[in-house]
Amino acid sequence: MPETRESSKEHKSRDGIIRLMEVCGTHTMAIARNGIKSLLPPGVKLISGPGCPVCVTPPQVVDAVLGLSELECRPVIATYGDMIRVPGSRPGDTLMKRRALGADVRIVYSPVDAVELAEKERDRQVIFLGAGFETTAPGTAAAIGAAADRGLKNFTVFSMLKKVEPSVRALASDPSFSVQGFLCPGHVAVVTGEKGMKFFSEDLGYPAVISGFEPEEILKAITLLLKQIRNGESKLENAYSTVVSADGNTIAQEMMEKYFALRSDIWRGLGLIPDSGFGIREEYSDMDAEKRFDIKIGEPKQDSGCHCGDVIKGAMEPSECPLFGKACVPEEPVGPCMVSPEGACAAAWKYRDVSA
Amino acid sequence: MAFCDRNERMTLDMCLAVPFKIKEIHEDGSALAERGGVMRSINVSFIRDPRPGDHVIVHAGFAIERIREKQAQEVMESYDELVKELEAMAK
Ligand code: SF4
Repeated sequence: MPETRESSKEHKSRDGIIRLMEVCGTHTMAIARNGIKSLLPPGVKLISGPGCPVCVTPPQVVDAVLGLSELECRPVIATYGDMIRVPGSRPGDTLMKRRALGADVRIVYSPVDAVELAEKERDRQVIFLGAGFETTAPGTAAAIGAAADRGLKNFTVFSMLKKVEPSVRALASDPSFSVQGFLCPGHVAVVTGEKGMKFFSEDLGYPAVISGFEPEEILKAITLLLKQIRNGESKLENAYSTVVSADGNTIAQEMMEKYFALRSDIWRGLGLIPDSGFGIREEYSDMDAEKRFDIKIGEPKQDSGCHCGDVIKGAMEPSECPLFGKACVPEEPVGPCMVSPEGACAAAWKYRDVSA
Repeated sequence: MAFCDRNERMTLDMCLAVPFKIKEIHEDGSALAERGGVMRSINVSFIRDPRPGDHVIVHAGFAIERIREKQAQEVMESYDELVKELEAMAK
């Protein structure tokens, strides 16, 4: 059963530094771009968590994605832009590279655009790469529904969709994990509601604040966290109540429920976590790329030397990675944390002057 | 909008959720929405009873929630509060 952390004395870490984790990649980016770290007093640190979708996708899954381009049917791979620059376990091997070599890779803005593609090009298999968290999962579910309704036989989804909560629980169960409070992911909370974020405080015993994305909203959330820590409290506060309701978006939740079932999933840095991935339900297995194309997730082919796994656990600062800014820069990323602007390494690199 | 510079646009689309204002609702669950003078077709099937004039948060083409009237005052106060909190911590 949920272990509750002890009272306020644990709200200080051993080294006396207060570490606050922002779980969402969009927060990471907003914090870096607005120089929020430099506004904080010396004893307070913000660290990034597992909230950037491409960053938590492990190399062996990226390898499987790259493998789609080798399928005999020469499918159209429809994806969000972030994904095309993420290397698999071999440095430099990306969808962008594969596209240059002839693979049909198309960037879409929405999963629905991928359904439109399948509608237009009925003689081609269209595989949509579904990455993201609870924010993206409902739209992907709706796309599966739309394709099923239209009777499209050439549309599938390769689901890499993940649920945030199990990853935070996994992180928090690591004895070396030292964080004193959480900035909860605002847009995931839009879908799950406050109720989906209660585990931070009620089960895990941390101070937690749901935050918006404007600099002043983030500052407000940090302020509320510091206040809780000082008072020895651990509760959930909603500082984004203009958008996040108690129960969340129930229509979106029903969509996820209808098309997805939770399954074990592999996270970069965190390994296999039970019930942490959204797999496509058996009833819709026609739309499941893993089943239709018999995709197997193997082992990573080699170790690129990337430390993203430690970065997303908050165990390492981007600048502590030996490759940071040297072999690994946004133009030539070695790991996903340098690819996505929401990745901690890319944010730290791009805003290195303001984030101090 | 702060998060959308040109170089970042392509890669940012995925996780980014941005506010839009609904202009027209269509029968198929789509809607025409506007942000900073740019019109975009969005899907509003997750919004109960969407209406023109509603502000919504849009993520990957889907409106995921309606934005309630923003309490600007609250946001303004947050700076003052932060300063106070930092002072309290320094003691
Ligand atoms: S700097 Fe590059 S190699 Fe190092 S952890 Fe970040 S993404 Fe990985």
